[in-house]
Amino acid sequence: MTPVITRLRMVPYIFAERVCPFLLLALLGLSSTMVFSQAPEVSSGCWAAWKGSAPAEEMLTSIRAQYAADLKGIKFNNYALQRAVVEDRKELQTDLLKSLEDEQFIFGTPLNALLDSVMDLLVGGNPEIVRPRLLLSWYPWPNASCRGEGTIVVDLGLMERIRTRSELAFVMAHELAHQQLDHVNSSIVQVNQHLLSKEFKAEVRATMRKEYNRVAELERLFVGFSVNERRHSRNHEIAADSLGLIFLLHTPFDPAAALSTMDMLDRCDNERDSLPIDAHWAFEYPGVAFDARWTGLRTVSSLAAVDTRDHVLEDSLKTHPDCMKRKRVLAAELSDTLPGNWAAESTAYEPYAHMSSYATIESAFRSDDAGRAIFLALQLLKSDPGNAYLNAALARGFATLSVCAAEHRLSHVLDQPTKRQARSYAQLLQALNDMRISDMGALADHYLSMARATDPRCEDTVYTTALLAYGRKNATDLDQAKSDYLSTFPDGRLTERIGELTLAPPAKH
Amino acid sequence: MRKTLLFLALLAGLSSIAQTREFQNVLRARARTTGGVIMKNNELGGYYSFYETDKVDGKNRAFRVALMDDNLGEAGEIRIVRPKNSILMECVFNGKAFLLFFLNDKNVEMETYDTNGKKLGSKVYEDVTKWERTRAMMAAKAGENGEVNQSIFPIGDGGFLKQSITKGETYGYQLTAYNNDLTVRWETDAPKSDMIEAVDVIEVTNDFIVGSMYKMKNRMTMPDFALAVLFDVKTGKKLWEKELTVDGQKMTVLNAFPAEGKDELVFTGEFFGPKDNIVKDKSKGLYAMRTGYDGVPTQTEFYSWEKDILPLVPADEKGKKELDRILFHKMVRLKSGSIYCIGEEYKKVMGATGGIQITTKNLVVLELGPDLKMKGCSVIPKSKQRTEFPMEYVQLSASVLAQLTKQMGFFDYEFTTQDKVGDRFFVTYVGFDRGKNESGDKVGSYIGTVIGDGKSKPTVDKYDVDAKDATFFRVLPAKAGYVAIYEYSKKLKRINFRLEKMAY
Repeated sequence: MTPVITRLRMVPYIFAERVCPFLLLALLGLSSTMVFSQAPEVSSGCWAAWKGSAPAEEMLTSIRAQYAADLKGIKFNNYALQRAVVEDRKELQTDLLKSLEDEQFIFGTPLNALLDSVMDLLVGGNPEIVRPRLLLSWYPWPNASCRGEGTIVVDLGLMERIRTRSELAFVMAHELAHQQLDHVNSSIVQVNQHLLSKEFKAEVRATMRKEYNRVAELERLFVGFSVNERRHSRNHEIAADSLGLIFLLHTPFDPAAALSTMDMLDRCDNERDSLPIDAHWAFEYPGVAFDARWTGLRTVSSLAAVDTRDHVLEDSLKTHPDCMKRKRVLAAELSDTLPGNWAAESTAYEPYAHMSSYATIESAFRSDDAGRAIFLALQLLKSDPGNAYLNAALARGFATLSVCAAEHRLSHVLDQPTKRQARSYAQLLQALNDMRISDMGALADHYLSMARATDPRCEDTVYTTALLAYGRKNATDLDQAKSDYLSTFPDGRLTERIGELTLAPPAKH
Repeated sequence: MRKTLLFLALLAGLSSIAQTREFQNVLRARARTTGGVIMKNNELGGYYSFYETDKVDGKNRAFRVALMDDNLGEAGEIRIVRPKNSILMECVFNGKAFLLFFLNDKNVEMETYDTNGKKLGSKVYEDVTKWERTRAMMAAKAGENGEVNQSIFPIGDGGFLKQSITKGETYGYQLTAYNNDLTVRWETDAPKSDMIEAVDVIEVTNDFIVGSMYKMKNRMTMPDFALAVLFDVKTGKKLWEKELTVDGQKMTVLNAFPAEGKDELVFTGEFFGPKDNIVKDKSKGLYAMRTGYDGVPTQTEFYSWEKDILPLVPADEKGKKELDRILFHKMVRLKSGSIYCIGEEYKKVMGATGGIQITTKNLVVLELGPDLKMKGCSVIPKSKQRTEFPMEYVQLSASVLAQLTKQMGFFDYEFTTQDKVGDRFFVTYVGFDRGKNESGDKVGSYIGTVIGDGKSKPTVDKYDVDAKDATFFRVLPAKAGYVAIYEYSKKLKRINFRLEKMAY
């Protein structure tokens, strides 16, 4: 829930809006069956992973038109301030347009439908809200953001981690509050006013004239400025929590979800990251020289004892307040509300979370993180060992590692373990980094055969067959697999990648 | 103004992309001493990047020592103000403290820091000997990679051992043990004698310091023989020194291993004829010797170049078996007990400009079985590297010139790492290929790695270094199976570290 830039103010507005009894009572009357539609299911066969989806041209056209109008509407008496604000707003606009053009968002899936239905209820319960443009991004971390120009972005990683629709509703209500309080745009103005102020300019100029300690002085100025700005940002978050809670109270969603959302955000890592993976189960197959070291985590960091960070400064530079502090504030506000007839929905969200988990595997592949994709697929495979997509994804992951290792590009697709990662993820990364190319190839073969046993025509299965043939420089098999893929999946999501698999000349690295 | 803010934002810039680490706003970086390895208890602990960030006054500069672990994970930083021409020579970590060894304009200096970056102690040696400064300056030119020019060793987690050269009436070795706050625990100097005694520390264990010793009449003469020497690590007391000789044959010590689970040491090196000079003359071959901790040999094996080694050398295209002189860089022992001797061929020839040159050639890997019998020899072809010396050096022997070449860092060999659990070793060198790759691009510099597992013949992997935008790049040791590459771009004021896995 990170607004690009946020700003302190509007707290009085929040308290004025907190008690809206008529609207609240009207909404309490809604039954849960009216609110929640039937959740989709993920088959254990070959899951049709979503394509990146280019946005509709009409959408891009309308956004461009809106952006142009937005910029024209920016008026300040101070020309320098106007130019700076326009420049910053334009930068945000360009960034979103580029992300759309780069197909960083997901369209037309059940998750989009869910987001829309939740937004319908939020907007329906709070008529003062202007319905934003709602986008679902492929980004795998638990985040959502208000872009300040009428767009709210929810990241895939958030969809995977939350546990109820009410939690999702609270996150969206929080972002709507940022939009309603205009935190992004007012922060842009405030920051630029500070940067363009006579005092600040004079201070920077004086520093730049200095012969000695120039960098240290600039750093001091920057840190002072940042600490101040981040303090405002943290206050904005508290304000958005409060207003978001009010928005939530005007809907049938359970307001207590605001508290459980804070618990979820406090555990920043995915809970699954901590679930152990049995190395014997995952890696001990024919052709693999199994190494006993893969069963445990060695010291991740040789300098683990070293910690020279300035913790006080780090705390001052955080954009968000501590989640537990936010939870305390929300709990205090919730204690003032009447007990409500909130919708019971303890399990309704699960299929969406499950679907999001599958999609995060695809998200990892999209960002060339084969190590993460393998980890996520192994975690899901534990409960669904015959799943064609998961086996195919694993085969694809190991084949990617073996091809990249042979071309000295392993570092492009595989992270090193770090002390900040969850233990089981770090352990897996350590094992993958230890493996020989032949081990990776043998594991790709194993999981490919498992995938074929369930569904030989899975898109990832056919692609991985081509990838392995490419890695083994087998031109005949490569041509056959490519031809299979292109005939079976003429509009497949991996068409571009399979086109890159050409044996002569090999890609330069 | 807004650009300035961007610049300020970059000050805090420290990227954390997978397997890479980047430092922005580097005002100045030196080719050999900007980045290096952090040695931790005789093994690679991580990396440091030392660079200037600000001018403090006319004489002093602010520096940043960025610390990274062996996965290039950010470990921390130490910010220090030092004389402007400071060179960070070595950074050693013992688990509880870092020791930074600096070479200044006129003196050398040591500082220790705890794991929170707090300074523990400092020691300036104003009266450092000319020889110690010369050694340090040569080391600065060659660069420190934890294998050559290492003069500081951790002693457990409570202190450090510094090896240097004494001042005073006679020149010779000086070993000083420091506590973490740099208070002196003990100091051992070469005894006063007619001979100069120089010690090179090979291994520091929990109980002993194992070294090789040379004795010379004066600074202008060559040592006649080499000795193995053992000190007590707790007191600095010399326990014994022994000339390694069998039947009058002189022997040098290249490496020494404490044999795991046994109270014995294994020494390896070269042997010479009774009348040969161990520095000037070509050796007769190699030897391996087991001794007890009392220095008494229990087994010695000799391997003659002609009789034992040459027959194992693979024939070239013309069917000839040839070996030039070999400078041995490193010897490693696998779990099986097999020992691998890693060397590089060289020869002394007339230079193109009238001087004398050392031409380095192929890498050579010799394998000794656990019973110390010669088992095999692999020759890894690589490009020739020529180091030219002025005409005045013509009188120096090929061996002496090769040692000078090594000290200057001009051999292609870089380092050896060992995967002790996986029982593999990796020998890394930098080669140059004038040819083109399959894409038709010039190869240029490449990193070669010889990979041995004790079961099959060592294999070679070559990694084409793409460092076109770099002002300079260096290859540093990394965890087993990897190499670390760091590049400095003067134009972009940027230092980049990255890990690359060798293909095996």
